[in-house]
Amino acid sequence: MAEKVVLIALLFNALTVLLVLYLVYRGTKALGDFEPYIQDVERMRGSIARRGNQILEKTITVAQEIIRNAVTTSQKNIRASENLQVEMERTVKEGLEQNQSETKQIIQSATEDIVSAYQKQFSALTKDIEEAGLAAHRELLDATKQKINDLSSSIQNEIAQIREAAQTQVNQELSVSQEKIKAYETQKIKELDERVYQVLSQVAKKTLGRAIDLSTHEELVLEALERAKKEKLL
Amino acid sequence: MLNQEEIFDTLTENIYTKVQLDSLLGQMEEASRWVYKGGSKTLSEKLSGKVSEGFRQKLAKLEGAAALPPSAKEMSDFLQNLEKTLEKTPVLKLKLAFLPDAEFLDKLSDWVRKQAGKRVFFDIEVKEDIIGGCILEYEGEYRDYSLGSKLEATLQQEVQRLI
Repeated sequence: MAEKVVLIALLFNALTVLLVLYLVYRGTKALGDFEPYIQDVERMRGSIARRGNQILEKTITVAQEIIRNAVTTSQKNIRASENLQVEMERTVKEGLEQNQSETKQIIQSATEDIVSAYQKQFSALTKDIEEAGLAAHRELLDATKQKINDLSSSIQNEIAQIREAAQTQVNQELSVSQEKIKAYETQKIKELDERVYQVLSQVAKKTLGRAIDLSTHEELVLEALERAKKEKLL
Repeated sequence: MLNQEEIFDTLTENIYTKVQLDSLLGQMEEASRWVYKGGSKTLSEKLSGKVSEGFRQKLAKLEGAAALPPSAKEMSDFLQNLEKTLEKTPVLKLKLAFLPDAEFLDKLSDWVRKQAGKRVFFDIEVKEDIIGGCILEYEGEYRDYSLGSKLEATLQQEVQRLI
């Protein structure tokens, strides 16, 4: 029985192997059938790629051409603009210079006219003023001389009176000052004498007291008591 | 038996100045406080260490001579009377140019007692600027017997004469 089973199993295995081998064969055959299609696809892809590259190169070339043209045009425009600016500046400058020159001439002419007119006017006026001033000066001088002459004598009198009064006052003040000086001098001498007396007194007290011996001191005290007794104090 | 004056003399022996008198009065007050205290001891024994030894010995001397009253009451009255007498004793104020010693004060005290018949205590003040002599103050009277005042008077006269 077991052998049968083993045999059957071996048979199944053999069948399975055969089946697999068959399937491999079929698969390889199927792949071989698809090979021409794959090759076609590859060729097409290469063709498309080459075409794309050609288009791209063409596009780049065109674009570069456009850019070069645009740059050239722009440079031309810039140069034209610069030329135009220079031209305009030159024109404006010339116009301004011309205007300035004309204006200057007009102002100069007007100023000269005004100055001339004023000079004439001032000349006439100055002459009038000079004449009037001279006349006034002469009148003032005459009047002043007269006034000085009038005042001179009275001033001399007043000065004499003032001098006399001042002399009197000075004499009085001198007298008072001399009296004050005298009194001050007397006072100071008195103070000085007083001070001399005080100094002498202090010096004497400081020196004499120490010069007296004890027994003399005691005798002097007893003498004082005797006097007190005589004067009925004790 | 000593009389009152002799007792007074004994207690005031070597007491010449107001300062000494005040000290004596203080010690007598202390003695009065001990009259009724301390049992049967004599007053001088009770006062041992409480007052000056000089004062205590004077009391002992009087006790030895039986000069002090025997009873405590009489002793108390005696001390009070003595204090009053001392307080009434006049003070002679002296300004001197030097500090007198006890011997000279004794001499002065003796002179006043013999020549003026008075007992005084001295209130001494030393003022060197009076030069010598003294200035006295006694019972409201004032006398300047100093050399300083004589010198000042002389100097003033001389200054006046020179002016």
